[in-house]
Amino acid sequence: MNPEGLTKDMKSLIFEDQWRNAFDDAESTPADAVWLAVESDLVAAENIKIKRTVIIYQRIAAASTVFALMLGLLSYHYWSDLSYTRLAQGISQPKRTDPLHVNPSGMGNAPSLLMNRVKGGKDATVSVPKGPSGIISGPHDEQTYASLPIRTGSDSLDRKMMIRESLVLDVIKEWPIKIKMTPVERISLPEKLLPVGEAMLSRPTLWASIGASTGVYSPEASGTSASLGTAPSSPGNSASTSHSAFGTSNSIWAMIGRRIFTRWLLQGGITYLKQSLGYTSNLVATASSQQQTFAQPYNPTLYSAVTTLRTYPINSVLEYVSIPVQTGYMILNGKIGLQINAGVSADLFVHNSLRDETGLLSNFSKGPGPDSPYRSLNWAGLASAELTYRLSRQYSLSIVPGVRYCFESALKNGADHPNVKDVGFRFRYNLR
Amino acid sequence: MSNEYIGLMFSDQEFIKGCASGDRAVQKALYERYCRKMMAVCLRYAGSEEEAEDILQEGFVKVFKNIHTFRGESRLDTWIARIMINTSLNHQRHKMYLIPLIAEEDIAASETEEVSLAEFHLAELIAIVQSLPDGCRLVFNLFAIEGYSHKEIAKMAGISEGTSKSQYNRAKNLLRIRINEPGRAYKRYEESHI
Repeated sequence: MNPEGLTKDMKSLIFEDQWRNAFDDAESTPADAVWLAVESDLVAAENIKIKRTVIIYQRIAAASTVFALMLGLLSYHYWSDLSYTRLAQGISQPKRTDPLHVNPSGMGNAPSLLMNRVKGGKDATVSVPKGPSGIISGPHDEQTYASLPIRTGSDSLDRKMMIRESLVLDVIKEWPIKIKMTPVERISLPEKLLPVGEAMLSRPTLWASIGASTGVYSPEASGTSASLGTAPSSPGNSASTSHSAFGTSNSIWAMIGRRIFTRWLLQGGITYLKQSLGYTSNLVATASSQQQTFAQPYNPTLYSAVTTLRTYPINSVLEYVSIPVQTGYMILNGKIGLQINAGVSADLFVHNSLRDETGLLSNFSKGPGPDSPYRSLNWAGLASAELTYRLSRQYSLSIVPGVRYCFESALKNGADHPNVKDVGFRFRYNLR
Repeated sequence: MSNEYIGLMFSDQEFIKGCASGDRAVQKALYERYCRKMMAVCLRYAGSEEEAEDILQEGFVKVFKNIHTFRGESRLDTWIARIMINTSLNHQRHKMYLIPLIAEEDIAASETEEVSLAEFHLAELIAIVQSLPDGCRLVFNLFAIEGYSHKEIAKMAGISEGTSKSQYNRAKNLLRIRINEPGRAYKRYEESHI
């Protein structure tokens, strides 16, 4: 190229073209450390994102816990108020519109449900002594609450309460599922590209799980039989109750877990717990305003008059909503994982129902409250192992054998320590 | 398989999808495919190899964080190069006040001697460009290599259009002088990877 004959602009163009061509497709290899630095920056940025996400989930968890506690407190107050309302109604103006119920006076009225059943059933010979007001006579006639009407299935107030209980339980059951969990980006660095030690850190750090378990419920170390004294109304007939050594326990749960250190994790959530136990008893309770008798495995001095009957089987079902908090240690954390968990659980008593297996006596149900024989809040210790199989990056399935040990008896005046040995399945979705 | 060939296994769409989803293997493949070309870009704008690597690192982090915004209106490498240039600009923005205010007419253009760059090794050319003052180097790269107008450069760098022109003229003169000084060997990259 001869630049002599070119104009200034053309020379300039040649100059720029020369440089542009010189650098066209130019390449230079950077140091390997640059990628490591890029990767480090990306991990740091992702960690910040994880922290923000975790903070959000922590706030959701905290809000959920507060919500659950508030719900528990509201339920507690609701049932307490309801008990007082019923007490007041029982004392002042018992209202019974159900034609199946007798007049409070109890004189010459239609027979009660129990009496119908008794007359129509095989046990028609059973005689229940009655006082002048229709109440089964006995030492508990003198009790302040002797006239307290005990719930029946046809009572409108009870129906209302049952509906509310059902709604509350539905909310509690569905509540964790309704939390909309925003999917977050996962750290998907292949483990083989990670240095030793960081491979562990690439494992899930935040997860949600649902599960169910079933097992053996033991109210004590073994079955007991207790003599509760003699009912004067039926001299010589000793009131007693005994329960089988083991019942069944079923639970469902939803939990959120987070790894707090390399091998340590923390998880909590909400559990619905149902414990069933078989009894035999010869105690019955009766309402003053209606001639109904109810299955009673314990001495119900606060409720109504009791008397003895021939021994009959009872099925007792305790229901709890519990809030467990557990810490765990991951022994293995590969395709197959193994961890051990320990923690505590706050068990909010929902209600207890007693059902006479023979069908002669009416069912009895009781919620928490000052007049309830059951503690509103129980604490239990939890211990479990968890054998996990990772189905994919996001899903895993675990088998969870565990033990639950209650620090106090379910009954306020009880001294036993119920425990549960169960086996559960946990389905886990890894959020991060 | 060599790292540089791993990147050839992916299409631009696969790169975008994989990087946007945070797949580290795809991110590394993208890096392997374009890091050498982008390093050459960064070397032109930086005053040293270390600074170029800093720009490259920062630029690729921006690429991975923002690749979901890539609309496919240009080639992927063009988009990445633009990010590298912007990162270089940000790196040099704090040096802008160091650009001397030289009037265009003060620059005596010496256009009598033209030389061919063909006889220069790329490493030497990069070393010559890096030897320019910061302001001159920036304007030279943007105007001569990237093809921006002085008006656009003035807007990008936050300087006046006249300053951009004067810096460019000064850069041209300095380059001509240094190219015509064969005794001043720029051997910085003689043993480099270029």
